[in-house]
Amino acid sequence: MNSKPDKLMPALYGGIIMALISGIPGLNLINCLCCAGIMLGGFLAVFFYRKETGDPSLPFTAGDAAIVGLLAGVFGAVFGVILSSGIRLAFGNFEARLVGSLFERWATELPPEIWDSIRESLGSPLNAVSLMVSFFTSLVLDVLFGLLGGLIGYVVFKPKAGSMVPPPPAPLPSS
Amino acid sequence: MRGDRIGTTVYVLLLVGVLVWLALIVLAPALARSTGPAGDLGAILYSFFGKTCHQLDARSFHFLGHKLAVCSRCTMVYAGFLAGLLFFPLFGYARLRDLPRLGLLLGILPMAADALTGISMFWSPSFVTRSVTGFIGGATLLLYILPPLREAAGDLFNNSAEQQHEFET
Repeated sequence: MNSKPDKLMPALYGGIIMALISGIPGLNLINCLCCAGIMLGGFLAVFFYRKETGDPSLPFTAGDAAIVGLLAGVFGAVFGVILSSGIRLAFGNFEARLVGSLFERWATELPPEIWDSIRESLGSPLNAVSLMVSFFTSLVLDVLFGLLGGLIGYVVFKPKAGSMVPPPPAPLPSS
Repeated sequence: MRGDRIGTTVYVLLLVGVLVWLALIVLAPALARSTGPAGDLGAILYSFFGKTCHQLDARSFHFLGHKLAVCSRCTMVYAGFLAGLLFFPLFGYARLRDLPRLGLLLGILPMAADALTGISMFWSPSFVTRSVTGFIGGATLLLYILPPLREAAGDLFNNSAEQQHEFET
């Protein structure tokens, strides 16, 4: 009987990609397009899951894709907060400085509220409360958009109708 | 969808979820006008949605003198979700299950192209192109993910029912 592959490792890879996109300053601007980076993590988790099977005859259901996307979201939230906190502890609020310098270099006129937000972000301290708030916000968003990415992955990678090999018939009970 | 309990439940839950999500987006500027706890709640909503969107004032719809909690593109993506949900009963799960993958690409591509060309600084997308491509992308995405979401709920529900049955016997 064909057994389903492990969901944890593909979800972990997807979650790490999600965390890298969300945690690396500059790269996390991808999430400004309706959390596209988070959805990409869920999508890639399903891609890795499908690749791990290696055999198109193995069963692959929407439920598998949803679970892999959800798990990737959980991993993404955990690693994302660890990564962004680590970067902030090591380099200070590098992200706000980077965004500010990028806009200055491009000579782009920024609305005043963005400058205010950058200044506020540069001055805000990293503490346990802000970490918890950041973690739970990321958890909600990463799980939701990870699930969405996982379902998009299912639509793209699902086997075409008729390509699935039916499972072998169950052995008859011996009398 | 009639007679399909799981399908109806998934549809209703998603409809309520999208309506609440959109309501929070519109509620943020309404609360931002107030002072005290209501104003603080507005700030929390802006901060929450700030994780998903740039929230630039010039690229956002306004309500009661304040920008919505997300930009025009994101607002229209979620509005597209709602439109897709409202039109969904005309199609049903069975008809949407085997839509060609190319349709998904065609639905999302204009939005992605609009966003990417905007970053490149060679082309500045207008308010209208951002909103229209976002709406098309959102509606397309919803119509493609609803059938697998229903299948996933069916898988999980049936599995848990089987496990419960095994436990009881």
